[in-house]
Amino acid sequence: MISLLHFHRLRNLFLLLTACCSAGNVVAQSAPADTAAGRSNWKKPVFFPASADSLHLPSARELLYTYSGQLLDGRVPGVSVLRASGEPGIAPLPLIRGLSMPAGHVADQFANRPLYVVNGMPLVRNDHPYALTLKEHPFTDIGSGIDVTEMIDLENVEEMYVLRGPEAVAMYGTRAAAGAIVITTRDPELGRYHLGLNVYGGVAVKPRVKTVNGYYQRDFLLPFYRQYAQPAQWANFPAYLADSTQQVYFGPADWDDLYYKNALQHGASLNITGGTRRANFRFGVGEHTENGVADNTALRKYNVFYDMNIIPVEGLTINTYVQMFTARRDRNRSLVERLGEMEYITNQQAPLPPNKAYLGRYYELLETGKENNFANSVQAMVDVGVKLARGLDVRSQFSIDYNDNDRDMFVPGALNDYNSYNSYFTGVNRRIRLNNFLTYGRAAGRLHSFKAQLGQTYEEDQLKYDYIRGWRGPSDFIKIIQVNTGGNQAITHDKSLVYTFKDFLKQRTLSFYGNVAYDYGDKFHALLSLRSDGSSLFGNGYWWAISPVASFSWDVKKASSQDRTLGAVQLQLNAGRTAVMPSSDYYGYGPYFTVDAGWAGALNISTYNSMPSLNMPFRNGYTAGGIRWPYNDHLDLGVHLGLFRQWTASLNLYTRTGRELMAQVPVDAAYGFSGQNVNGMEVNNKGAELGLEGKVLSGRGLRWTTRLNMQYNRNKVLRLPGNVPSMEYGVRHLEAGQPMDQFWLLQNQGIYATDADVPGASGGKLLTYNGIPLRGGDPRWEDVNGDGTITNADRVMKGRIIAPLRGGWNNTVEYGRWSADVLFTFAAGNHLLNGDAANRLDFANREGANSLDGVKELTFWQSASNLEKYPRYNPWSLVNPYQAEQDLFLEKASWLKLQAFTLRHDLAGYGFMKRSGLRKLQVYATAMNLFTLTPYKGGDPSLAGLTGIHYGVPQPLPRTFTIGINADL
Amino acid sequence: MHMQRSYIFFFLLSGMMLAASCRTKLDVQPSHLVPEQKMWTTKNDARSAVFSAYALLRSALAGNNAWLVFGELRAGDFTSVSRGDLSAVTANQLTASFPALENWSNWRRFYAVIYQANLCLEKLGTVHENDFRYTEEEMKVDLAHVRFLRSLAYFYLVRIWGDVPLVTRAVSGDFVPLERAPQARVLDMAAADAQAAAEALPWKYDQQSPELRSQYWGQPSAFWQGVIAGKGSAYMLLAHIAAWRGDYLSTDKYARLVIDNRSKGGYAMVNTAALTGNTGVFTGQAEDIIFAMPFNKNYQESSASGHIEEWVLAEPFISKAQPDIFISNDSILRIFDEPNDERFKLTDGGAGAGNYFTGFGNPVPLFSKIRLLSVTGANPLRSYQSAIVVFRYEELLLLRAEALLYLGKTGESAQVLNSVRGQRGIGEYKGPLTALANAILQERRRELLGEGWRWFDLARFEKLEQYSRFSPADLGKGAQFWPVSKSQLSAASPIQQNKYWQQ
Repeated sequence: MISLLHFHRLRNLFLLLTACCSAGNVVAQSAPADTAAGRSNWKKPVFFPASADSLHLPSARELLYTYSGQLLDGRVPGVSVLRASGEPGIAPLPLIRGLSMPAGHVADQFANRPLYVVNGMPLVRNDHPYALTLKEHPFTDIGSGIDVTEMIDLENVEEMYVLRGPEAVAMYGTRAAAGAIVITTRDPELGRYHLGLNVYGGVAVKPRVKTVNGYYQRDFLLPFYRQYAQPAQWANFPAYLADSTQQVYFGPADWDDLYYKNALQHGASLNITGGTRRANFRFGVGEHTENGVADNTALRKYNVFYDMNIIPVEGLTINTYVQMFTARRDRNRSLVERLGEMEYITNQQAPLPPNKAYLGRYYELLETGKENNFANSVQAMVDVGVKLARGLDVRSQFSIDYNDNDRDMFVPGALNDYNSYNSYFTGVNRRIRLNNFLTYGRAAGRLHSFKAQLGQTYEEDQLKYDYIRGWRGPSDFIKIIQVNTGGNQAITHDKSLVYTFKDFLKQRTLSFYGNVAYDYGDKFHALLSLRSDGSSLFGNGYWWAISPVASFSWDVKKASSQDRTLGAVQLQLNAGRTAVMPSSDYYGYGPYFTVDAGWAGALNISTYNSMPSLNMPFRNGYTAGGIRWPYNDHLDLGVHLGLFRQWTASLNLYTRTGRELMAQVPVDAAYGFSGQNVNGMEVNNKGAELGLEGKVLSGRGLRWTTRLNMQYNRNKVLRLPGNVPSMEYGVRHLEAGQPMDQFWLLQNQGIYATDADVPGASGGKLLTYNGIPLRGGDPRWEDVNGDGTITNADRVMKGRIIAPLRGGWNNTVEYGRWSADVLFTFAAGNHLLNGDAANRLDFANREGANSLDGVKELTFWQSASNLEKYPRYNPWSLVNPYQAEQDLFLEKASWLKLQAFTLRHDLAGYGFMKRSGLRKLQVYATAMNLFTLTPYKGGDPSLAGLTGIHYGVPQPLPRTFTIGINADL
Repeated sequence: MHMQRSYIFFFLLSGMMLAASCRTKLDVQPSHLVPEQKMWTTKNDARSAVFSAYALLRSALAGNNAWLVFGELRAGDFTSVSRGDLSAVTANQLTASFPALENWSNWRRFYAVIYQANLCLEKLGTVHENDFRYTEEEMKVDLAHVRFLRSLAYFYLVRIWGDVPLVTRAVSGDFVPLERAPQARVLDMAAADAQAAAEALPWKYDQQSPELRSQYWGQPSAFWQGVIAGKGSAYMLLAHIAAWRGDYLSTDKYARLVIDNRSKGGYAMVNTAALTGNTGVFTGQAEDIIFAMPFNKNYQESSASGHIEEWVLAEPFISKAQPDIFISNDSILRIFDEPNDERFKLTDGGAGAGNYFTGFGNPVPLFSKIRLLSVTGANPLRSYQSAIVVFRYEELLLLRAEALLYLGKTGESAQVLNSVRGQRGIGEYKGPLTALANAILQERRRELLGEGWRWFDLARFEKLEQYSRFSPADLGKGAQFWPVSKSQLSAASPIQQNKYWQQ
């Protein structure tokens, strides 16, 4: 029945299986060893063991990381962890082998994120592009801002595998197109009950910053005014700087006392495990609190974890796993984020004062506001395995993954030009997954062995959200919205100022997969994998995508004790074509209608004189009917070497080409659309990953192990849709043959001191910038094409946003009962645009502006960039002399960081240990982010997102010191 | 063994159930977008599509206050306080490097209206076939609405950019870059559309017109008055298109048609109190409104952006120290150069009176003619609901006066002019008839101040070189029009930059 209906799509798979089944006879197989590894097989990516780099967690348990992604930084080659802010709760973005897609729009981050898999269960995200489309300024999360990847307690994690090549999709489906981070949790231990305890506490140290006050800003502005200002511009000299007797702005610059603080960090977790081979469990609870050093930010997480395995009868195993999480986040209270959320710009004429004495009222008002950010998640899974016959097993896994993501916000009127603001966001996401597979293994003789897997997965995702916002409540004491839906009478808010939004999305994925593995003499391993994924996102009928992957490994030489120089040699080859799941349903349904009739400042107006509207997506771009699945072509080569007995080296070379990627291309504006979504972009990532590990010192006394991870990545746009040579893609300019993470900049060569210096001033054609004649005080931009006018054609592709070279150097030194870990991380070859300097210099267009550009945070009073070094252009010039997109602001942003230092002392062996019955007792101290070396002057360059523009230092990564204790009873 | 068998059975059964339904499982209808094949099936689809065309035109005009920038700011009556982009517009430096200028030079949003209108023209018939409730009568009126909107959008395009691409079909997917069409051809097409709309639209939505005997979308006549097109709007559009082409004979014909049928349309002049009050003309539903695009807060259509108030108001109306643009005291006196003007006059003490301005004599007086805040009370939210008035009756009268003047009927022209002047307290025009053109232009300047007419009026009266930095040679090269946006020029398009802005 099954094959009749659907397996015709998988004819190839059947051929493969038949081939493997017909070869050889079933030989006596030893019963699967009842080892810890054997018991936890169900959690792991068993079919691709060699190609994944894994990170064994116990060594990192002393670090107070709250996010799994952060832990990978510098520890696993191939992973670049991007982090835009050091604020607790802002999850880093781990990029696996570089960018899968150019990142020109906020929503492109979804295509570049790896898939998180916990015990074989791919996690459903709690943020998605749909809710983002509601926002005019989608730079912050509309919900709690607690990333779903924080919903994993590292305390319970045993191992993290990073799947970087085609095996990610082969194992976990097309959502893993940008790689997968596979997490397995700690297994139960057999025997009497064991208790495990890990407690830590410490402090994140308040950063020392250089604060400034009104004098600094006035002294910065005045030279510009003296040199260039017309009377009209003098008339607009910032009023708050006009009177230097005003203590508000010219008093002590001690705002940092209120803004920065030393922040406590603590965490505790307890777990209990035990049981027999037939029934065992692990139960754990945990708490983690990460307080930020700036702006009263915090993240608090609580979790419960339960893992139970039973074997009711021989041949039947039942594994269950439940994890529950709740997290609270205190988000930063920056003006930009608040005003961006409200889409209402308050009066920006007078910025927040640098003088603490005048900030008290502001902080009081902040306290009368309310902001609750919380997220909950439950993941539950049942895995049932039945041994059907010798070598033949069937497994059925059912899982439910649920999360919600909420934000309640109330901004008191007194903070907000006397118009209070309320908003509620409630997002609920759910995934139900059913995964069934058969595995079959047999060995023929001593040389051959086969293993095959055939399975099917069904996933149903439901995403929904409600978002309600209202302005101008009756008073600052009433912090809720209540509207009389029946009549026109307002209970709290005027009905016309309350807006509600909701969305519901259902998505189904159906996959069939088969893997065949063949081992020859334990020397040669081959694996063929084929899967077919169908997604409801392709409502145009192109539902299915086939992803074939092959993997070979050859143990050229096995390690033996005779080898002095070259030990084991293993070669590995992976190749495949894997499909890419789109990150939203805006592509696969063909031309569609939506509500898209708003304008900047009122994007969500959906009616005309109360009549509903439904139109083509003019702003979001046209989508034609024939959109197909994009896919990646992979080729990975790996060499693993054992050297000088004590050393191992592994080198991976990879190339990954994304083809038929979907991108919005600009179309002629005469059709009304801002663009058209089409297949056809091709991008390539090439690179090398090096891991070198060895014992520098070994022996009885001092032991020193070192591990160096490095990766080099180069990306390139091979083809743009429609074969155009270049196009604008959101904030990025893309050119075929060039990297996709470059800036597109004017090249700065100084300043025209006077009108007479401008080429053409003394006759001929005057040099212009987009038709505006250049004058004295304007930048001397290079006219690359020499046509006598500076335009976009004179911009050049420069710099790299994603560091080509990244890595980490980890050292472990052990001496007796003492051990220490030191981890350095580094990035080289990357650049940033110093947006902080550009914004400060562009004061003429920003000072007091009634838009987000005019907003000055409290951190405006912190001097970071050396503004003296920039030429003094006429800031009022019509050529926008201080635009960020020029190489004047391009800076090298390589960095080296001492990311973590841990010192441990094992108390085992002391007399009291024996008496207490403790199996293990260890105390440890950890220091993090001890120092950063960088040529970059505008702050910490490791805190940068995908745009490559760096806006100062609002939420630093603090130096953190903790001590903890780790005990097993 | 028994246990194992039952498991096999269970496994196979669940597998079968899944597999059997897999194609239907994958066929999930999206709930937040409407695929093309589901559109155009019911009566409500027609309604949503037609009103979408209205909403899109409103969006094109309101986005970044484009209507004001195109029609008003370039003419120089307004001065920018500190915003560089607005200064660049008032100085007619339209290629200056500001994001807003790039945005204004992009004509895409007008073409969105045209695409939507083309789509409706092609598809409304399908709705009529699919849903019997959508009668032919309703369909014809809806088709006339979208023709009117397409015509109006093209009329804006021609006035703003000159020669523009002419698109008459809703192309699906094959977006071949288009060349500009000559203005004359575009206006021919706009006039034909407006003519067709005028024939099919009713004067009023009161179930009395032969064009529409049923209630339009279940709403009474007052609901629709002014905010959607009627016969009067279409004829007035025809009159304006003709005037733009210098065909004043037609202008007079169409203008007279509307004026003579004013009782059918329900049009009349309003007094100065209604013009400058906050429940009057700019609600979009006053007696003199022939066509306006409303932003009624009761329908949650009020907004912070897209209104003149956003730029011209400040303390004491809203919490904002200074407006973005203002009319200087000198300019005010030059514009209101006749005594007893109810809109603005100097009192004997030298102070200003009249609602057009607040704080006359201050360094930055406020232009307060239009001030429709969404909320009342202290410290109001900066959200506004003033309509964009496209056509109103006083403007029509002034247009008629202009037409009569150019047709040589100066006496009649002065008479029509006086009817408007009388309404504003400045009495009859006493100057020489040779200066009548100036008087009409000046009256348009006063009456329509802040309504987005001035630049187009100066162009029609051929007075641009007097009021801008452009020489006749500049104007010959197309300086009166806006440059084409950089994104358009880079999008593999055959379109060249307008000659003046090329340099």
